[in-house]
Amino acid sequence: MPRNSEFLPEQFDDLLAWLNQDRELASSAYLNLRNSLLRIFAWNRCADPEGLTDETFDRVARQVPTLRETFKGNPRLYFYGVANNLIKEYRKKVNSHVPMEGFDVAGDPPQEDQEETSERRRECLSRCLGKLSKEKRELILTYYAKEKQAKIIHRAEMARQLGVSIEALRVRMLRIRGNLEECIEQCVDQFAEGDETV
Amino acid sequence: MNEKPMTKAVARRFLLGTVEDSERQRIESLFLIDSKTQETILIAEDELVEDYLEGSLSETDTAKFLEQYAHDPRQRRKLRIVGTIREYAQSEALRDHAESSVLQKVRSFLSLGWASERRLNIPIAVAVATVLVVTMVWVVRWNTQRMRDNNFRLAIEQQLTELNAPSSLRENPPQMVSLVLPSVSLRSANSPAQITPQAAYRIAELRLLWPHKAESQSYLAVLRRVGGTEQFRIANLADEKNHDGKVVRLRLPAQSLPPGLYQVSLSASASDGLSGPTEEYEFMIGG
Repeated sequence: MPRNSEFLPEQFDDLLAWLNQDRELASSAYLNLRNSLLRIFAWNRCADPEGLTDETFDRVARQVPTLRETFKGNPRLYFYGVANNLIKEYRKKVNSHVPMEGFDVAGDPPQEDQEETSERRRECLSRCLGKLSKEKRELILTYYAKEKQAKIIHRAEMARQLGVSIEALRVRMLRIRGNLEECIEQCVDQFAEGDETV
Repeated sequence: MNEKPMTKAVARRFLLGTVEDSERQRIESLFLIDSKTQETILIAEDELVEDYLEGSLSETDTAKFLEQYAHDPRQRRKLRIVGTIREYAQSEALRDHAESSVLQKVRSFLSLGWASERRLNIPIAVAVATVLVVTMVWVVRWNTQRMRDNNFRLAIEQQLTELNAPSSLRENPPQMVSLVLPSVSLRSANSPAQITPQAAYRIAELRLLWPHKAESQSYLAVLRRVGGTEQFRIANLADEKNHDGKVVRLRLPAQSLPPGLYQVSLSASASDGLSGPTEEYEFMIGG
């Protein structure tokens, strides 16, 4: 389970303001940065990406008052510096088999593996597809309808019909699929918790 | 910072964990600050996941991919979800295809008014003949491929039946490796057990731990590769009691199964003929 963040509400406000003066843009920047850091920790095969992401934000949040005066450049690079140090610390600790203080090296039992069956995933997919607009639903089902060589021709034809490049189509599909994945994850978790009214 | 452009090939190497540490840091920094790099990496990752699910990756890349992506429960879940979306979309497409029959297409073609105009008859006839020839060639090729796939499937099915017949299960062949698998509802965060096919091991025996106490007359196992469409059913399996509790043994032809993440869904049948609980298990076959 991800470690709870330790910073105070005012520290979090400071951190958001450092990312962007506009509160709304700052919130969106925070979420984007959080997702990116989660991916980076996962790519580096860290066992607890969420715990390490929380730790990154904790460490930066404690420094924000100073950083605002002294750090020149894109704040995201400072976050990366801290995250990269954590990756190095993690590797060192894993190599010496000593559990790190504050977050789990081995990770917690994965909730996603519990009570998750292919029937539930399919049921959740069906429900989540129902929440998409008709256009998006048809788009994603058409996009994944073929595989291998047929897929390439099929997607080129889709892009042509939509009047966009194949890359633009891919990006659009990534966004739709990202939302769909999130919905399915939530649905499967709620199923596991016994809530059938997802 | 060195501003080398991010190509899909570089992104792919990075995602498979085959870049130097300095290059990793450069790419990760760019991922955070450059939207174009972020897009390139996410697209490369998406293609990699699709290639894996389609079984299009080389053996080396499959092994690297699994090393990077199958160790983390969250990544494994993502793979399963993407696999489910693809399977669903493909089965919907097949259903739609069946519904819109060729006959309907011919009818709609014939109902077009211009087909009756004499000056257009010859070009239309040539076009129709060309389409028919192309379609026939495609159908023959498709059918040949389908037969090959079918033969492969039948061969696997036959091997599974032979290996799991009660008489075979009583024997312990020398070329066999055994793995104890808890169900996913009991397993901790560890990576799924991996079978690395070697010349010395022709058969892999999965010892599926059955957590339920109620008596079951027999078990049905359904084996499928995550992202694949084929599934194999092995019926009439029996449980055994040993120091681990109840165990259902399932033998697989380790060298015939393509590398990837596999799921086994095991269902019990009670003596009164009613179906009992179902458990799922996961394992990997390495490249």
